[in-house]
Amino acid sequence: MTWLVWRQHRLEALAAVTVVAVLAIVAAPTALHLYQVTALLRHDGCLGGSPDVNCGTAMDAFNATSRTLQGIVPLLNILPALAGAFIGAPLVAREYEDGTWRLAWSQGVTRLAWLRRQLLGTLAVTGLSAALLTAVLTWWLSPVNDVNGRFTNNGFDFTGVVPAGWALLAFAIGVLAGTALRRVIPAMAVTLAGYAAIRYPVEFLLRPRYLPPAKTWGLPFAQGTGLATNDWELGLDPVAPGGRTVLTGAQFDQVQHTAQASMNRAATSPATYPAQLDHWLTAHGYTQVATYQPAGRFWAFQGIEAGICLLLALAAIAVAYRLVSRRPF
Amino acid sequence: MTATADQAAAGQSAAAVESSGLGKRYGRTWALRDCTLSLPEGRVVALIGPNGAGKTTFLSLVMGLAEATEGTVLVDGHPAGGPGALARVAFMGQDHPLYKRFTVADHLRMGYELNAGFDLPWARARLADLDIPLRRPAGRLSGGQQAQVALTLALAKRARVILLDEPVASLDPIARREVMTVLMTRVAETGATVVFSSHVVAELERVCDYLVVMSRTQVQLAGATDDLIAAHARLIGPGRAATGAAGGDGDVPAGVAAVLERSASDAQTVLLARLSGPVADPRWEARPVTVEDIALGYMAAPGERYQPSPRLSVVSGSQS
Amino acid sequence: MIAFYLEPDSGVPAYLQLVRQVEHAIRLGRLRAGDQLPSVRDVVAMIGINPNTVAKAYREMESRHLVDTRQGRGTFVADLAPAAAGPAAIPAALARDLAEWIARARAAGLARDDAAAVFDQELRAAYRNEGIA
Repeated sequence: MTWLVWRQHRLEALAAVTVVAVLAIVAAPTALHLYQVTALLRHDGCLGGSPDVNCGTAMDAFNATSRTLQGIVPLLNILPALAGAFIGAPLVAREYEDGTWRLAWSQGVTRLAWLRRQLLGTLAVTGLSAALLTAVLTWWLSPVNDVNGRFTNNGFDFTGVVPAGWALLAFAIGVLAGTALRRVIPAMAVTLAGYAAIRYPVEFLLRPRYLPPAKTWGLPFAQGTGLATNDWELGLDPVAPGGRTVLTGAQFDQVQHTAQASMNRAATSPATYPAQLDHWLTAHGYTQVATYQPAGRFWAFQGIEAGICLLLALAAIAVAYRLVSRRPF
Repeated sequence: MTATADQAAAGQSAAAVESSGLGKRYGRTWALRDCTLSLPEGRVVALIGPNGAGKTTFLSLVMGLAEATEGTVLVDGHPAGGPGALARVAFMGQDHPLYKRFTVADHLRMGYELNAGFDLPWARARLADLDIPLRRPAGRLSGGQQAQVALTLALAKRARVILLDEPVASLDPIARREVMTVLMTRVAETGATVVFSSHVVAELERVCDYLVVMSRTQVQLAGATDDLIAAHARLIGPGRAATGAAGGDGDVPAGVAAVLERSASDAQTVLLARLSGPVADPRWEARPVTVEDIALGYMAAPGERYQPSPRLSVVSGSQS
Repeated sequence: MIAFYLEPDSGVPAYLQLVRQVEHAIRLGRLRAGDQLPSVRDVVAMIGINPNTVAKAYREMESRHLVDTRQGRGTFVADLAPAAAGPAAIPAALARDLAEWIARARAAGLARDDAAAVFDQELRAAYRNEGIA
């Protein structure tokens, strides 16, 4: 049946590979340029924790080149959704819609065996495309990740196993939608909606909390967070004197008012105010706490997110199997 | 003769399709009810009835494309829809679906890959005979050509049981005759059982030797055509003038079990009747009826039911 | 090889038509002892009827000793197949009596079809208890 699965899905396979190839070609000039700029930064010692003042120009050059890139890349998160919609959704839905299920399931193969082999074939296509995409994007983003750290949204989304995990989940949602709705276009729409409905909460609400975040207390106001490039900074909050009580926004505003009031008005100007405020706060015992996920947890987080995708995908496929076997017609 | 004795000793011959109390409901509407049939092997079974009678539902259930709400159905002893049954049944649906973007050759390849024992040379030869180009996408074939491709796929499978839902409905009369000839030839070659549904009754006697009439989701009539022909007759007898009063059901001779159709005038009365024995009444003349007559008769009398149990002697066919 | 044909509206069962066609061909000398009849499959391909019907016809021919079936080799016209059902076997006296009756019917003004109808009716009445027609 391998020939049959290929024959039915060869267009989608070629499309997927083409998309990735086009992406690679389009990315090439920008990527190469970025590699050069980053090499320069590295040479000047501008990468890593505390940037030098001299790095300003080089960083500007970097930001100018990478700004567009960093704007576009998040949009690529739709690619797994498209895989799900265009490969997964029509898999069963098209058979129902065209009536060809009566042809496909009156041959010598049971419908569950048919489904299993179709799934394996299309899954392979999806997985392969996802792997290729990951390779292209990792190569493309590696200079950016060197500068911004790979534990950022962009860095995390397009490296390692997470892209494949989302592609797999989108595919499974597509198959389930197609099996349940039995019409291709509605199934595609539901796939995109379903994918978004799961991805947003997972990425923005759950991901920061896969493991309890680490905290660095007692950071002075004048300095930075002291975090490494590849640490994932989740927040930097003011702490009351005494060391462990985090101030709310309102409370901190109150403190700033007090500071302002006690500072010599005549001696402050907009330019010097920030430094003076820092000095006042430090003098009065205020510190900061940095909340972050350490760089070492990167692969653990990758595994957890991919694992969530995998479990949901398996559940979706299991339901699809049940729907197909029930033979309501 | 010895063949019959052997068969009788071994018990009933395996039925090609055996259903027991089979029923199917869609939502709250029943499409088939209480269907108990035992279709013998090697027969050409005609499934006759008006649209909505349950023919398509029955065929879908036997193929395993639909799941029974109640009752069971076996194909060659295997539960319908299971791998054993799927290997033994071929099917052509009413709308003979094909993959529009597959070429004819692609369809043959699919048949070859999904079915053990698919007769690829036979299929290619048949399509060549019909001048159907192998490289054309199925979507660009005419309706009649699509029907032929679908039928070829079904017949090439070398199945034990071949189910055809209205196989000749979309064909012109010449193509119709040609298709039935090919079907009969294939049966002669493979010894398969054919069950085909039709809402057209003409030319039944030529091809079918087992008749099932369905109406309003239930089986009305089922039996070998030889048995049915022997059990029915057209009776011609005295008209209203001869019997005097024009009363009600009128005169019915002894030996008649049921009257399917009645046509009375002053001069003579004609009955289409099912017999329980010979008609001895000298005023009535009995003439033979055809399979078409019987099918039409039961379709016109939806309340009538007749399902004789098969005579074992007919199975080995030693006498008629 | 004999070419079979069907007359669908003749009222004669299909299998019997095939038997009669073989009898007729033998009587006319078109089929001789040892000639091979087409296989069931070939007959079906020729006239598109149910294979069981053809099989039944061949069995009937065999029981009338018109043909022999040799397993795996085919069906052949029997040696010395009697043209038994032909008019030559009918006693001459019966044929004479019938001719006489026909002459009388004609003289009485009966047309050909009228005479046939009378004969048919009497025939049915006489064979009534042995089933239909």
